[in-house]
Amino acid sequence: MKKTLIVIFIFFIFLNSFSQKVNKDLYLFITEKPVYEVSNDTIVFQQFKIDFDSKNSKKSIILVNENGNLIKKIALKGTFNRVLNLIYKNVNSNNDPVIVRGKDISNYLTLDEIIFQSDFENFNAIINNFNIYLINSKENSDDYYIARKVLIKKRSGL
Amino acid sequence: MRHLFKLFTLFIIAVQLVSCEAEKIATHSGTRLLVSKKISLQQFLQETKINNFDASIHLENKVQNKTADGSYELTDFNIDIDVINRMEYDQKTTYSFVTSPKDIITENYFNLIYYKKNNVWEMKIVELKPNPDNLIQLQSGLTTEFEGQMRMVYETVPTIMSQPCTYVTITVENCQGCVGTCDQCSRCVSSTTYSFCNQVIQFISAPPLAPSGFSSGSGGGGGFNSDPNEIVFDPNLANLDIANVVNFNLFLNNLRTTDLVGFNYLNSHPKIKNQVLYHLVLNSFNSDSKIYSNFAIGKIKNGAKVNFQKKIINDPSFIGSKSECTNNKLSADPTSFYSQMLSNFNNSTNFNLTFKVGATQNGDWGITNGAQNNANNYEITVSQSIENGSNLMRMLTLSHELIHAYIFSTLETAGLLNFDVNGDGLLNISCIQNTNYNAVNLNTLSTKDRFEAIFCAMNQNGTLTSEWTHNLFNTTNFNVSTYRQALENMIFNEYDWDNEEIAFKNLAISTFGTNWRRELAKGVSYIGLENTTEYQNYINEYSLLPIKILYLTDIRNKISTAKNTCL
Repeated sequence: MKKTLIVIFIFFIFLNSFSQKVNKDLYLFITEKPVYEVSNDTIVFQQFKIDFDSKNSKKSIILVNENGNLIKKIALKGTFNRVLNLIYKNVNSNNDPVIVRGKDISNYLTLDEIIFQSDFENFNAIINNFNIYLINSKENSDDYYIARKVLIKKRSGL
Repeated sequence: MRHLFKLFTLFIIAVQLVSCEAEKIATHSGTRLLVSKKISLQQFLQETKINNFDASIHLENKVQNKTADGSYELTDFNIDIDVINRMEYDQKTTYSFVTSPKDIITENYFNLIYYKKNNVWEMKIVELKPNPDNLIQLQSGLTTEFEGQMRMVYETVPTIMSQPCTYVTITVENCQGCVGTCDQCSRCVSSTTYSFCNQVIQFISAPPLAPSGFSSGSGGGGGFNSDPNEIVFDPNLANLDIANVVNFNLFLNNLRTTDLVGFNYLNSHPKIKNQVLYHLVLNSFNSDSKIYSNFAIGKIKNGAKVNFQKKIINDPSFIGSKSECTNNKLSADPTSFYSQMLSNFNNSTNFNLTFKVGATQNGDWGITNGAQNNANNYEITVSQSIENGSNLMRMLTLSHELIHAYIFSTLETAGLLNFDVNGDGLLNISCIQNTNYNAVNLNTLSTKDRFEAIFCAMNQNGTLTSEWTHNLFNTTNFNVSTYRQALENMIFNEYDWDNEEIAFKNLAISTFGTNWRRELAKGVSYIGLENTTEYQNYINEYSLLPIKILYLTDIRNKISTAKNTCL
């Protein structure tokens, strides 16, 4: 009986070790070019930036001033630092782009779906559970896309 | 008003006699010397061997406990241990302290005197009240004659007087007519003797002015009386005219209404009370000085350290921190870029600045907040991770945030920026349609119009984003160099590169070569600006240099391995 219990215990440990959560793939469709890139024979380095506040932080109204001219009154908050930095790094072909079929992509987000997320921190927390691939929407042929595996780089603000 | 404090110290040498015999005065005038010297509390305790000294006194054995009108009672005093005078006269030593009643607001001056009698240290407290006109004349050096009232408030061994008279010699020291610093003003000392009988002061004699070198013993002191105790009174009278007294009392009364805890705190901390008074007098009790004083008292009572002159407040979390150490080093040179930024927060402006260490949103390295309703209170918070980080990280964070505070205060003054309840800035600008702001000559504009034109130009160019606070770091139209460039130069020139960690240095040298200091200073100055176009342009300069670009895009991690001991 004792031996049976030990075997069952070891079996559970064994099962557990193979049941680690495996991150699924998430594909981000963007049209942005890298904000900077560098490449030579051995290294390709690109950084992409998605600014969550680029479209919804500025508020303005049109008024007429005392001279009869139109003026635009603009109100704009300071830095939110709500920027998603995505790094693609390929050293000695250790992270080459991959070809994926559109119908094989189950998890994806478009740029608009990303930047209109109201809860930036929540969005960050969620996508950290995925392998992130960037796809330039324009780089496609017959439902095949070029995808680059990227790392999310969160910078603390100052 | 400042000169009044510097110019004038009133030394009272009072000798208590038991009779009014005139010949006794004459006997002791003009021959002996007084040497007066400021000493520390430690020195005082060492010399006197007094081991029960308390900076707070509660009086039981009062000579007199009410003023003539009976309006108040003096029972408790605070002693200012920062101002101790040791006076030697005829080989006898007396120590005097400035004191102040704890709970009573008064325009009078109090002095605590320690003297040795029969080999035992005794003490007295004397109160002086110059007449208003006399005080002004004394302060301006127009007279050396004291007119007013004086009384013994307390003495450990009350003197039994056969006649209620005291003979007093007052020595006035001021800078009137002196050359050089006030330290050399002993040559301006003069003494006058009065009788003090039944609360009436009468002028008796004016001994000749002491010649130069008075304190070093080359001339006659003049007018010193000798009494059985050989007491020398030195009230160190501060310069406080009646208008200031009235204003200060009004301020305190208001404080008592609005912040009773702060009021009580101030009354139990005379040194801070003096600092507040000094600040208010310097600024003629204007509205801003009163607002700042109230704000500062609120901070002080919670343990903050306040510099009233620079209007800088160190939160308790900042005191003793590595960040404070870095701040002190950066501000040591008054001509440095850092000091120039810091000088925006002093009595010449409405702004004050608080430094603290604490939590920041999203783990930001540092954050700068303002205050609602143009309260002019700015606050820089350095994150705990930066407090524990490297010297380079702290130097960058403090300087970067200080630039924010400087720019914010300029924009707030110009009416272009206000702050919400969380202290976050909200930019408000008005741009005229169909105006080409890129062609505007900024040099001809006021500060407000210049900033507004720059923001409107950014808006026209499509670059006005929530990163505007950082875009201004690289705006080239204000100074000879940009704030970012000035920051780079400061880091390059003032950081102690040579004593950096070997591994850190070696990696930097292998990446950038002999120019590693400049390259690193530039890279560090761009930290926090990564979301700006200028940063992208900067990094793209290295597009053909993969090793450097990999270092620079990871520079935050790289500098975290630098030295972290602020010495």
